[in-house]
Amino acid sequence: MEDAEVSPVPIVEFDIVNYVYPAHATVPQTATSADAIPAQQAALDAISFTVEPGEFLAVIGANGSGKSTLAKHINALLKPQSGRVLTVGLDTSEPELAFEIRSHAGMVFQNPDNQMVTSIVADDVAFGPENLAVPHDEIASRVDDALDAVKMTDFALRNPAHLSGGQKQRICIAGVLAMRPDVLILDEPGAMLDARGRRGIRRIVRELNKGGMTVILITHFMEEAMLAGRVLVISEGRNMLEGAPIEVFAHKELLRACRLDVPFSLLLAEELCARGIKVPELVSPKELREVLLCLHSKA
Amino acid sequence: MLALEGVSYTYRSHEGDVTALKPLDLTIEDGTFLGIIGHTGSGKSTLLQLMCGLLSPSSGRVVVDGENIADKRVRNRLHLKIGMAFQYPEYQLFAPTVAEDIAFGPRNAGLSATEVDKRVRLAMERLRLGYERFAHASPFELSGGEKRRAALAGVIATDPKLLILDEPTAGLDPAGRSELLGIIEEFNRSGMTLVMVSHSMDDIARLANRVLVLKDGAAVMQGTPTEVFGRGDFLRSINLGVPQATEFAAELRAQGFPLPEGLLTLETLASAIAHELESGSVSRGI
Repeated sequence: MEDAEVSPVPIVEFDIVNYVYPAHATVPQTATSADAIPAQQAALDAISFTVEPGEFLAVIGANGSGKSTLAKHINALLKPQSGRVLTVGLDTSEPELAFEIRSHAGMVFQNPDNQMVTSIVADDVAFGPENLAVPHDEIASRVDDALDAVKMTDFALRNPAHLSGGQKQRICIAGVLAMRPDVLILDEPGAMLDARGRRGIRRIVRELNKGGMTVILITHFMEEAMLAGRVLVISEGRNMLEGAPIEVFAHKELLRACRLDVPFSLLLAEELCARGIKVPELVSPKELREVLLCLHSKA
Repeated sequence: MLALEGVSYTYRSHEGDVTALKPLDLTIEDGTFLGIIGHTGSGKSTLLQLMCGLLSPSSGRVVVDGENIADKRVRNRLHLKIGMAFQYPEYQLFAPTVAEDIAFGPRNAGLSATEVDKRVRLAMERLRLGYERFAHASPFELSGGEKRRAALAGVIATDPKLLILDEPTAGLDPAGRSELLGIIEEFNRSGMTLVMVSHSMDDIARLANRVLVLKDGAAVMQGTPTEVFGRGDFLRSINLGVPQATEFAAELRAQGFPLPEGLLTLETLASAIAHELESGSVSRGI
């Protein structure tokens, strides 16, 4: 994060990637059953995209659209059946590179309870760097930094089992950060959390990204996607739309056809237009409030 | 129909006695749609389990249709009246076909084969699962939203008068969420009593006519959605939120745009804004 080394290599590069789950495959191990993709149906269908260093990319798509499959290709949990995935320039189809790739690409899944391994928070965070054979002294400082980044320093010696879902998920993020990855991939980190837990995760993800971390956030919450620098919409394993949030959410009908929706401020703008109030259709909540206050003062 | 009279629940842990639910009085009239909100650890799951007899209260009594469910004979008939779907109910799908999975409940209730078949067809219809397409499919071939609906069909097939749902839309995509909420709304319209726990204030505002707020095992507020969400400052002080429309209205009001209280949905908010802008122009003779 601190070194300003400019790298010409994209953090993640998908080049016409195809993937079909084998026949009789069970539910992908870490996905919820809600996200299962039937066997023999293309989970990824000629998908191509690139993520540059420092970017915050949100990936949205319906249940079964291939989001989780895509995430698992980034850190070589799955390998493309055709096409190519490069993570920090390393080809994920090379078995001997898998370990190195995973130290660069850290992944956080939906259910924090499936990701905890110890009964003390600090030990859990240390698990990753220990497995990377990081020297002992450095592990301690990495754990401190990681807990600080997710604002859980005070919980270092607590038992994760006694924490709330949101706190557990922050510990999982710290565990990944302690491995000092180049990219943080979050696969619906808020799906099992309450609103407070989700807000906390959202804040931390934004701060990490501001600090230079490349973030790929997979989400079902359109409001979260609004926070990203770029949004990638996938449907049936295909890349449907890509661009700045406001550009992507302009395609309301296409998004709805993909079983998605648009954020609240856009829905409200739409309702207001239908009632004859002239407001721009693509606005953030803040912009919409400003427009309305302006209209009100003129009225 | 269902009443909790001074019901509390305390359990033993290695850290001593833990009170998961402090004494609670709650009456759920027939036809009510009760929304329950509160954080993880606020006592929501404990309350749901007490309601359907999976836990016995440490004090007080749970009364269903005038009968105390502490009575074993009453409790044994409870599953005919109360249906419960836990979070991610599709984890519990087990039979080789969707129809057999749904038939499990009514068959166990001792119904005849003809009646079971009737129940299965009706439940599938209510969950918008076409019989021809899904009845003989394996539950594991279904999409995420379909699986969730198949699991709920299994609960509906027992024809409950009261249905308890714990986060029914968790993990579903926006279209799946909206579809399922529509189905749940129909259940309530057809006379079924509903109890739903949700993290989504928008879902609660859309469906519920009563809201119960839990915090640290205690009921801190009870009322209509308008009453409860009208106290946004209090909800925020206990780290809960309000529906998006209510939040937007509060911020606009704070910046000097007059809007009435109790705006819970996108449509009512849009109408109130439109009304204010129009009446503003009228009153100034424009």
